Order: sequence, then C-alpha cells, then structure tokens
Amino acid sequence: MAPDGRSVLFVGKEKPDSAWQIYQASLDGTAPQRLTSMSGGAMSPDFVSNGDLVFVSPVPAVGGDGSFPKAASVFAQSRQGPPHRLTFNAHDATDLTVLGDGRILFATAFGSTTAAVASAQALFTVNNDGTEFTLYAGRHDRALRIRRPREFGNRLGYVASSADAPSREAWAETVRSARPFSNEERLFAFAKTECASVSDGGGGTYLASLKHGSTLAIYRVATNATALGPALFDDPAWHDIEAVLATPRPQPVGHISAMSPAKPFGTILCLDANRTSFLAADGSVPKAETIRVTGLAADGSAKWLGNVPVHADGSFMAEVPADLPLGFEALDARGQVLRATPPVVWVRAGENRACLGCHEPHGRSPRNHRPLAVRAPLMRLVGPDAKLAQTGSSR
Amino acid sequence: MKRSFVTLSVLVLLAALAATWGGREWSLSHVRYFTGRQDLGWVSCYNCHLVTLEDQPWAKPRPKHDSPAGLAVSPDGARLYVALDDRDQLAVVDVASRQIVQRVRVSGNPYGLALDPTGKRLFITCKGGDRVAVLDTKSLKEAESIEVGLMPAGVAFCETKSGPRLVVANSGSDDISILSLSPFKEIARPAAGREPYAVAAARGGELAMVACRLAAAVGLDAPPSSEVTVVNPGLGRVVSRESLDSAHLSEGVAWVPSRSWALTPLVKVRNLVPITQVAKGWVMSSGLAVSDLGGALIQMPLDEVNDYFADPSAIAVDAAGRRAYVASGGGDTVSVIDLERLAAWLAKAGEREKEEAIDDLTLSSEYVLARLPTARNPRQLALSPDGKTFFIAERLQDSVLAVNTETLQPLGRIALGDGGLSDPIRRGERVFTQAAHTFQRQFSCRSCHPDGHVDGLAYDFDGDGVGDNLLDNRTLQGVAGTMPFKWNGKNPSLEIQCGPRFARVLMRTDPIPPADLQDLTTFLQSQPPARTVHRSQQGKLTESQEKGREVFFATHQPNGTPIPRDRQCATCHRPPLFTNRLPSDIGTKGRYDTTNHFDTPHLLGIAASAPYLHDGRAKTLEELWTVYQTNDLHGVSSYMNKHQLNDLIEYLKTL
Repeated sequence: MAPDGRSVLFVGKEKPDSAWQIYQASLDGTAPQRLTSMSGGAMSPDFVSNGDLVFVSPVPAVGGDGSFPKAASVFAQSRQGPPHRLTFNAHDATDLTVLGDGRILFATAFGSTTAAVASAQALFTVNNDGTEFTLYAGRHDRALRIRRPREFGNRLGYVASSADAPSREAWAETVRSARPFSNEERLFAFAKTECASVSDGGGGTYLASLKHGSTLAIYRVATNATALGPALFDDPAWHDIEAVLATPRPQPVGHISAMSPAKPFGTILCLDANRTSFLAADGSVPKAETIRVTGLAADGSAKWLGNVPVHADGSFMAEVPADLPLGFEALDARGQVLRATPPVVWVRAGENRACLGCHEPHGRSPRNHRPLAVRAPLMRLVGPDAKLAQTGSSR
Repeated sequence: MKRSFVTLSVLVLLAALAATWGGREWSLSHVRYFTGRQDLGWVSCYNCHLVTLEDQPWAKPRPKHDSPAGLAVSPDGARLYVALDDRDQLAVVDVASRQIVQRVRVSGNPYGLALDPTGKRLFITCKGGDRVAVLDTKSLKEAESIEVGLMPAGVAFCETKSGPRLVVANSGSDDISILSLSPFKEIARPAAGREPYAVAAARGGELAMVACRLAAAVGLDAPPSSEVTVVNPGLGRVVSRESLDSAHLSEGVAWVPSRSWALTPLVKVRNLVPITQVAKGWVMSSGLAVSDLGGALIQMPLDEVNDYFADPSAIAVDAAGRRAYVASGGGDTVSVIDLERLAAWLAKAGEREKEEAIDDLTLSSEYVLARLPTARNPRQLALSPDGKTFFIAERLQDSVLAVNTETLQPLGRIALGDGGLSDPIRRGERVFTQAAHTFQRQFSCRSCHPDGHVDGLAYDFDGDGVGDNLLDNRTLQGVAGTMPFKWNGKNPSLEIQCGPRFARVLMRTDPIPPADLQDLTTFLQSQPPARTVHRSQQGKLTESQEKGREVFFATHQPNGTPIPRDRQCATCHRPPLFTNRLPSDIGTKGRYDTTNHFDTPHLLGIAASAPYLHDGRAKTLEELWTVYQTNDLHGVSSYMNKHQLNDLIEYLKTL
C-alpha cells in the first residue's frame, strides 16, 4: 500500500510465460499501471520517502542457487529514471519492505561458506542509497527462510520456515525492534496452521493469511487471541496470500545520500578486529595482526584485494572497491587464518563504513575512543586484478 | 546631437568603469593595509564596519513565555509550584482542579525549586538574578533572598546534624553554594565540575549530589568525563567527585534510599569515533548512571537498538524505590524504569557486562517498563508525596502533564500559557530541541548545544575523510552577525549551515523543512552571548583587565617594536563582535587537518566556551599561547611575560 493509502502495489504477469512485474492500482478502480520492465522480473515493491519505487529483481528462481553475481538485488527506480541497483549481496535479497525510519529491510542469507547455513536467512537493512548494509535481526543458530517482513508498531513480523529441512511448514513470528536479536515470538501458535503473510490489522489485530482447510484465507486475529475466528476473506478456489490495510500510513523518513558516485571506492573502518564472538577453545581471542581482504569475483570466487595491518587497538582502515561483496580474514603473525567472514558486506561509492569488530555482538554502540587506524595513512586495496575493482561500480 | 549623445554616453561609461575599478582598487588596498594581509580579495564593508551590538537580534526585546522550569509539590499534595523563569513568576496550582490559583512575581528568572519538609518555605533559584529567594508559602511573599554564584539552577534541601542546609548548583560559576537557613547565609562555596546543574539530597541529607552538565576540556584524543560532585552540606565540604566517563549533559540526579543508589541521567557521547553513521548510537545515546557513592558506578542504557530517547534531563524516583521516571526533552517521552528489574540485572551481571552495559542497546528492554508520550520538551519532573501522581513540565508547550503512576495514564494537563506558537523564536526553539530531525531520533541540536552553548567537545565528521579535520563544537550564543559559519568559513548563512548539508553529514535524515529552518535560525540569532563570571561584572575593568585590554589593542610591543597588523589581536578579533569574519592562518594546522586557514571565531563569552582552537586542542585560554602558539602567528605573544599574558586573558574573559 502506498503511504497515502490510495493505491496498492502488486506483482503480476500479463501472460503465463511473462516475467513477474510490479503494477500499481488505484483504489478507485482505474486500470493498473505497470511500473517495472525488469529482465528476470521484479517483486516485493514498496516506496521510499522521495517516492521512488524500490523492489527486488530478478525474481529468484525456485530451486535456483541465488548466488552472486546472479543473485536477486534491491533496486530503486524513480518515476522517470531507469532502475539502479542498491544492494550487492552474495546471495538473493528478497522480501523487501521500507521501515518507518526510512531504511529498506530485506531478507538474505548470512553468507556462510558452509552449505547448511548458506541458505539460512536473516533480515538486513540498507539506506535508500544502498549504504550502511546492517543486520537487523537474525541468528546463526536458527536456519530460517524469511518471507514478507512487515513492520507494525515496535515489532517486525514475518513468515518463517525451516531452511535446514525443506518442509511446507511456515509460521508467523515477530521480533521486538527494541531487541531484535533474541526475542522471537511465534504468532498464532494456537491455530497449528500454515501461514503465508502477517501484517498490521489495526486496532490491536493482525491481518494474516492462514491455511485453515485446503486453501489459504485471510484472517483478522487479535493480538491476544487464543483461537482462530472465521475468515475475513476466503476465495476457496484460490490461495489468498496477503492482505494489507487500505489506510494511509506515515511517510517513511528520508535520507540524503552522502555517496560520491564518481568515486569507485569506499572506506572501511573496523574499530577492533579482535572484538569477536569467534573464540578460541580456551575462550580467548587470538590477536589478529593483519586483515586479508577479498572481493567476490563474477565467477563466484573470492579474489585477494590486499592485506591491511591491524593496529595495537585492533583497528584497521582501508579504501576498497565500491559495490563489491567483501570478505575478511584475520591473520596472525605467521599468516595463519584465525577467523574469517565470507564476502557479505559492501561499501558504496564514497561511503565510509565502520563496524565495531569482526562478528561482534549485535545492537552495540562503539566504545568512545579514537581508533589508531584513522591516524595512519589510508591504504587502497585493489588487488592484482584491476578489473575486479571495477566490477561493482560498473554493474 | 546624436553624436554628442554617443560621446557623452561613452565618457560616462568610461568614468563609471574608472570609478568602479578605482573603487575596487581602493577597497582592496584598504583591506590589505588594515588587515596586513595581501592574500585577501574583495571584502564586504560589514566585515569590519557598521556593526553594533545593539543591532544584533539577541539585543532586541523578545516575547516572553510561560515555560515551566522547576516543579515542587507541597507535602499535603494539594499544591504544585511551577517556576516560570521567562516570566519572572511562580505559578501556584491547585492540584485537584489543575488550575492556577495565583501567580507570584519572583524577579531574576526563577528556575529551581525546593521545599522544606514542612512545606512552609519554598526556596527558589533565580538563574538570571544569581540569587536564592525564600518564599513564605502561606503569604506567598518573598521573605528572604541571598546572593549565590552565577546562574544557580538546581537546589536541594538537606537536613543535617548541623542544621538545615540548602545546596545550590551555580551553573555559570562552576561552584556550589551551601547555605545555612538560620541564619540564612552562604557558609561555603566549593568548586564543582563544569556547569553544575542538578542537586539531590542523599542519605537523609547527610550528603548532596550535584550533577554537572559538561565535561572538563581534555584536549585532543582523550575521552571526556563529567562530574557528579558529592558534598557534605553540614560541613560545607566536597566529599568525592564521581566521574562519568564519556558522558555529560546530566540535568537531573536522584537518590534511591531503599537501595542506596544515586541515579544520574546522562548522554553517553562518542565524539572520538568518526561519525561514519548515526545508527546504533554511533554519535551518542542516553543512559543512566547507577552509583553507590562509594566508588561503584555503572552506566546503563536508556535507548533501544532502533529508537532513541534524546536529551535525558530530569529524574524522579518514588519513595519506595520501585520506579524511576526519566524525561527525554528531545524525544518528548518519559521513560518508566523498573528499579527492581534493574537491580536484578545488576545482581546477575558480571563485571565485564556491567562495564560494557552502556554500549548494549538491547539491555534497556530488561528494565524500561514504558515510554510515555508528552507534549514538547519535557524537562522537569515531580512526584506527589503519596507517590500516586507525577507531574511533567512540558517546557515548550507551556504546560504541566499530570500522570497516574499506577496506570501510567494521563490525568490531565495544566495549561500555563498558549504554547507561544505565534513567536518564531519559540517555534525555532522547538525545532532546536526536537530529536525528530535526526535518524531514529538519536539527538537534537540541543544535544550538542545545551541552551545554545557548547558541549565542549570536538567531533570527527566523515564528510571530508575519516579521521581528518576534527572540529571543536562552537557556541551558538552570540552567533548573530558572525557569518560565515563552520570552521572553514564555507557556510555564508545559518540557513546553509543548518540545512541539507547538516542533514547529510550528521542527521542522516531529511533536512529540516524550510519553514522550520527559518524559525530555527531566528531562534539561534536570538541567543545572546554567554553570561560569564567576568562578563557579569559591572562597572570598570579591574587593573589587570585594563592592562590586558591594552595588550589586546596594542600596535607596538612595550619596547617600541611594531606588531605587524595581521598579528595584532584587534585586527582579526575586531570589536564589537571581536571577529572580522575572515579565515586566517594562525599556524594551528594540526596532524589531522587538510587546511591551514580557519574561520576567526567571535570572542563574546569566550570564557565559557573552552576548549579552544578549531579542533579543541587548547584546554584553556592560557594554552593558546603557552602551548599552541607557533612563531607568533596567533598574535605576537613572545614578548609577553606571565603577568602580561595573564592580564590579556583576564581581559578576554570580560568579553
């Protein structure tokens, strides 16, 4: 639903063999208007504060690998201009929604190198220019697939299913925005039913698509309900998969981009590479001496971009190619890998991106200190393959 | 005829061109001669001439408002007293009907309130009058008054073994007045931290805690810390000084008798970390210091991962020590804290967890019970003696909200004024104090400029590179007429300084809408220079100050050696604003700087705006010349002995 509550965005196809595209339909009944013409299709539409349409493209293929460089990404498109890509994930970015604070939230895989966890998704956010790629909610110990996240009040609801063992079971759960990393709460547990969507129903209710019988139907469920009432809408010939409240909602907050599009590099600053949840067997954190930075090449391999020294306080900083999934390996004095993060994050052109540590606890603010790395000359990491440095920005 | 006209036109044109060229040449030579700088191009006459203090917006009369400051509830709970500092009034409110029953004139901007236990005497700090007034609550007449330090804000009544005492936080003179009541006199004035602001009695009056708003200047790369000064009011002595590391802007303090806790709301500041983002409390976050006054002090977060409650100010704690209420002046909320849950978390937490607690934004949901919405700018709180009602001063709404402590539902609003929305200065102050203009409401303009002044910190904005160009926060008081702005002097107006550029580099959200921006700049220009101990002195300069004035305006050294014009103090710091509004190279380019030219700051109220220089490296005025002078580029000081330097500084402090 557009923020003004007067039109609805939906995904459809004109012919059975057409690609899914995004349409906008006014609630006054006028003919829907097609908004996208994306090769490979488009899905998960929403609007950011300046009125630009954001969506995911291409539509991930069922059973496809959804991996870089063909992974589905988030795009933005103004009324007049062509679509431009905002995210550069190693894996499919799916199921987008725009939060009230203006960030674009979507689901994507953590990006683990182990196949079992590779498909496990979490919720991440970016600003409306693709900067500040940040984990919003998700845990490495829960291998989930996440669909249709929706914000309501101080909670975020979504449909979850197991990524470990493929099954049809899908349930609704929420996380509190105050503590999104460890407070999942399952909804409608009383109904023991498959769920396809959940959203704000207004007045202390959820609108949910639940399977109660042979097809999915739309229910309005009170937040304190203990039983499922009659369906709000049910077309028994079809699955009714999502309902939204046709009312205006606050316009998301805007964000003025600080990117420098002409600059093919961004800057990464880690405040303490030794702040990590990867502990040695004795609970200690082996000190990193050097960080090996890699970029994900078009063939899916991680290419070396360069090494950057870790300062005494654990900080390091470097310029890296923009729009390229970046991986990091912490090396000890002998060059042995102490811990590694696969190519997951990226920086946009001219973006200055900072993090607390390598796999640091989530929801933390930085300690107030001036990192030693910012006092040292800035290194530019491009690796031996100059083409790799241009891969991201030229996409 | 036609030929004559053409000839005349050509001559007039040539004369105009000659006059223009000559005027420009004369202008350039005038500027270069009187500044001693050959690098300057055309400079407006207004940089040095035609400026008077009287013409500045802050010198003009402005509308007054019924802004509530301090609150106090009578022991029987029947009356609520509300200080209206802008009106020079005290409002007496009937709690049952929530109506004002009387307005009493109290001169000198009445601000903080405290009652004696009988409720017969109300003690009022008068921030503009530098005094404490005693009001007889029966007659509502001023019974006594006593002069204290500069700009007294908070006040607390303490029953001590030596008799009753008042403890007063003198925010402008960085000291604490300890007053006896019989006789009513000041018995001690110990030094506090920087900007002492709020006071609360502890341990039954045996101690008093004074929360200070600002951190002492620490120079480059060092984390700042503000102070809670603990005094023994009976003895009139400082007992201890509790340090709030990387924290400041405490405007409230409370004692929890049942737990022997001192609670101090604070802003946890991260000014040493490059501002690459705002999310996750990267710039600052709100917190609460929990101290046993015995050395154990833990800072706990009040914000959430995705939402912030900026500018925590007042705090109130119920008598049973069950709940604390903290007003968020920038977030228009009051946070309700379950002290039992907080105690439970502290009991189970390890030392490292406690040490890092303030940085864990997920923690607050362990003990914050509710966030109550208020009208604009809640700044002061008071609980009724029976603990059933708490009152919230909604400062920029001209109202007081009464809330039921059990249901946490509003009981009603006491209207003190009309909100003042017809006044652009008031509207601008509402913008200035509203955190809604920053990402996830993390901070407001006021979070760095308390009352329009400085927070005394330098920040690393990343727009010009991570780690480059640290910028000392400059005062907004007396800012009118001192354009351009920003340390590099690139912003010609406050509208540009506070507009989209700021949204991009700091607020990380939408720019302030044009109408609000206009109001904001109107408010900023209405801010007079800081009133300091020296500036408040009346009459002639002291002998030392007069000597310092002569040094400031000197054109020759005492031995007759001329001082080059570009190194005479008054050339760049030209009266009456004490700036010529031009960037200068005074040899202060530091290791993080990419330029050597910096805007010339005005000097009005400079005594109160430490630290100094563009990156805040100089902790004191003395350090400008004793530590950071380079080849006499920042004025010629190499000839000065310590007495001459002291005299100069004494004079600067009077500006």
